Amino acid sequence: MINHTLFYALSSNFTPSSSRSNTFTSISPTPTSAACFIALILFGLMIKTTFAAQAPQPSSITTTPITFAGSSTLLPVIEQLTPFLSSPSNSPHQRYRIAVQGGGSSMGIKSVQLGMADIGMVSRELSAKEQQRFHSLSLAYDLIALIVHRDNTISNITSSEVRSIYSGQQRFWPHSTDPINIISKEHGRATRAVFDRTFDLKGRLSRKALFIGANGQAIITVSNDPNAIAYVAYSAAKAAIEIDAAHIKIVRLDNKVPDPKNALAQGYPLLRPLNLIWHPQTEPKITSLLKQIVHPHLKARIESMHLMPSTTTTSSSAHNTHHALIGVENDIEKGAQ
Amino acid sequence: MRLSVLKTILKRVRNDDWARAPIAPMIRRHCLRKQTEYRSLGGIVTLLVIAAIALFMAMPLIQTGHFLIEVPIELWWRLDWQPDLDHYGIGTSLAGSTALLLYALPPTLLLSHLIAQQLVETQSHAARSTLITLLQTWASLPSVIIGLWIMASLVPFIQSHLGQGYTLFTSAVGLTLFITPALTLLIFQNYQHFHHAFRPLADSLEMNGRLRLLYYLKSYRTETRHTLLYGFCRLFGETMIVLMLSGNALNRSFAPFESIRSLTATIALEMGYASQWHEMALYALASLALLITLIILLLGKNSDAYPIKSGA
Amino acid sequence: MKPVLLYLYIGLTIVLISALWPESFQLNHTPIALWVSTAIVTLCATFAALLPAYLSAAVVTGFYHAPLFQRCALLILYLLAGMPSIIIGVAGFITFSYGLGLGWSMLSAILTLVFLLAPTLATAFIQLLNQAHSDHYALARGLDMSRTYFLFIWLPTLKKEALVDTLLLGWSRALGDTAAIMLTCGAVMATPTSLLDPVRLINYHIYLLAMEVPGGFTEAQSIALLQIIMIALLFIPRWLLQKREPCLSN
Repeated sequence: MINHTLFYALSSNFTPSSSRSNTFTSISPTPTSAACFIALILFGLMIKTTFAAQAPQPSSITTTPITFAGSSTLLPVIEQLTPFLSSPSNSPHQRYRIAVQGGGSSMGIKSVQLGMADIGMVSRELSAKEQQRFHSLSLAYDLIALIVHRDNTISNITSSEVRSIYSGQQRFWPHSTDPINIISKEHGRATRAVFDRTFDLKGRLSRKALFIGANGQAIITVSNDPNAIAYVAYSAAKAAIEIDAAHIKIVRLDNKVPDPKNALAQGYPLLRPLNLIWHPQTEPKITSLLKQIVHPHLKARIESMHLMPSTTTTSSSAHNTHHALIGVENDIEKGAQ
Repeated sequence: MRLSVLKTILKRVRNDDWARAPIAPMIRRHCLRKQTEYRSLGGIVTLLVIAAIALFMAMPLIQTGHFLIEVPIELWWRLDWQPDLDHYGIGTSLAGSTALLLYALPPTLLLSHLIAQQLVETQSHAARSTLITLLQTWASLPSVIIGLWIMASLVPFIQSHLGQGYTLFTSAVGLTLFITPALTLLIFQNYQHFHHAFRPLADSLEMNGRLRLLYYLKSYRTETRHTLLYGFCRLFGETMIVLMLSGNALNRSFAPFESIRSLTATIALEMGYASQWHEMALYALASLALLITLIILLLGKNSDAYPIKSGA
Repeated sequence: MKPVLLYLYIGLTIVLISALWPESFQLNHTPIALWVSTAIVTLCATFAALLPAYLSAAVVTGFYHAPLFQRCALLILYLLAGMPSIIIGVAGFITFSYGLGLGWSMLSAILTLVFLLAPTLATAFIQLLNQAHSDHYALARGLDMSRTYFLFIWLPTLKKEALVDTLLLGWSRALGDTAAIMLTCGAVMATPTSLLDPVRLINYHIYLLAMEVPGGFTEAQSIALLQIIMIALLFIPRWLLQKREPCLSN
């Protein structure tokens, strides 16, 4: 401090005409202390990060960091399962530090391929090439629901209507002059891929279709706009109606109700598997975690998120679950081992 | 040792001994003899910085090379961007960015010039300092916050009146609100200088406010060009607000109440889901944005922005 | 001296809390984790960008005799300052996350932010050093003061306030940016334990809440309000200081 004051004294003599010449008498403490403040925070955070990394763990418990990455539909599911997976009561000798990361299904595959994540979350069916390369586990099925505003009079929509609305041929709601505001999703999103395939919309999507967010903002937009139509994950739509009382309603598709309990029996077409994939090399690291994930008591938890727990389970390159919709019963524990 | 010397100097200064004390020889004798000057230090550091930056910026360009080699020309030498058909034309996103610039740049420039003029010419010092702090705070707000605010206020309003809330107009309003404060602060400094230098002249010629502003624009051409460039860069490069407010429809339209897709928003929106050709196309799009910015900046560059001094 | 003590007190409290943060608190999925990681990333990036920016500014303003580098540095800083932040984000993603294999981590976010902040800081430093070159340098040379001494000890103490202003400017720029870090730092909502951990920063969190999470809009608004208050707190001390001075700009 003394040093600094001296320099101020000197500088006031060097630059008599400077506007800062009276700095010596009116040294304001705030900038200095703000700098101290910032430096201190930085210092503290450094200490924290350094020591936390070196903090000794009890020797009996080993901590394994596991990174999940990929589908934004699976992200909240895994995040809600995390407390059960990382808690040491389930496996006394091993403890997981789980990090869940979004980014979309393609990002999930890419990051597993590059080793940036241990487990990829992919919310669509895997291609034959991907099945050869990775091992996978089908966790649950998610329905895709078509939603409209609550005041909209329609309650059922046919596949051909969906096709003509989304390809821009039908511009107005039936028996009305209100234009239809179409909301779609970005190319590459799993929901979009399933939707496009079901209604044969590849390359035909209307130019007027909006791309707003994933599930959340689409639901908000529909609940504010009586003329909008969107397709979102059924779980998200149901949660929005139940928890946030959003002004939306789920419409029937070809008179089929999207309901996890009897969707398969009814043959509801908009259905997709939620897969976890991993590289064969990382398998030993995550075996015990996978066992926990497929444990029966987590099934109820998955059901409570409006998803359909899967009956089929893991696959290796030899064991193909491409036709998992029909389902081949498999021993869960055995598959995980 | 240096401290002791300075203490002595200070004592002499305080005793008004300044004229009589041969300070410079004293400092030379006592403390600065052993100092070595690292002449090459600055050069080496700058070389490293330049190399790092050049390599860093070249990365998207290198990826673009792969794209141009691997993807057939008929897929990208076209106008429309439709990744599900493997059509990677630049027309859609360029049209969107151009439309945004057309709608947002003029009001931003006008507003910021007017506000800056009012700020400089106002008599009340308290009002000025308060307003400047407000502008500074606003200018450092994250863009997502401005986007959120417009989404909660303007979008539902437009939606209820015009049928669709996520439009070119909404995002242009968001961009104007976001960039005006930063631009105002930039113009404020220049206009302050102008005000001190030319106010007597302007007063004697009885110029009104509009004339003074025109006179400023004419006489401070370099600064105005810089302001324009800065506004362009911020508007062209802003991603999050456009992503949140424009609706992102793959629509080549200049109509104000239709949804559009801008160049930077395309990258931010699709990067997470892209793979293979689509991903490479996004890198190529990033390189295109880089090249456009480079060209505009180089065209607008003037050599006397910071007068280069000769070496020490 | 009272404000100093206050700041020291707050700073020390934060230091203690953050240094002794027990992991058993299980605050991994709360906004506190976001604040901690945001503070680490933005502050580290600001301080990391400080030295290269200062030295580049010193070269540009002619303190070091390197005519070729001088023009190069000026041009590159000028071009980099105008780059869209998403481009810097993409370049950072390719360079650090893929190229150097850092993955989504705080470190790659910090390195990307350095490239974003360096031109901003350098521009501020160029103004400062230009002024100093014409005002004080000749005199300092007359006193046989070395250049290094002048640049790194004399000037920082003389222009302390301007330096802190520049630091604040850089920090607020780092706090305000979303596009550059959304591709590099990941989206994990947990307190980081090392620089290689993926984290989620507060701006990206606001964006995700508003756009992706069903029903997250209200929470996004409340976090945004907190963020506005934090940024306003950065500038209020300067406002109080400015009231005393007749001229606002340097």
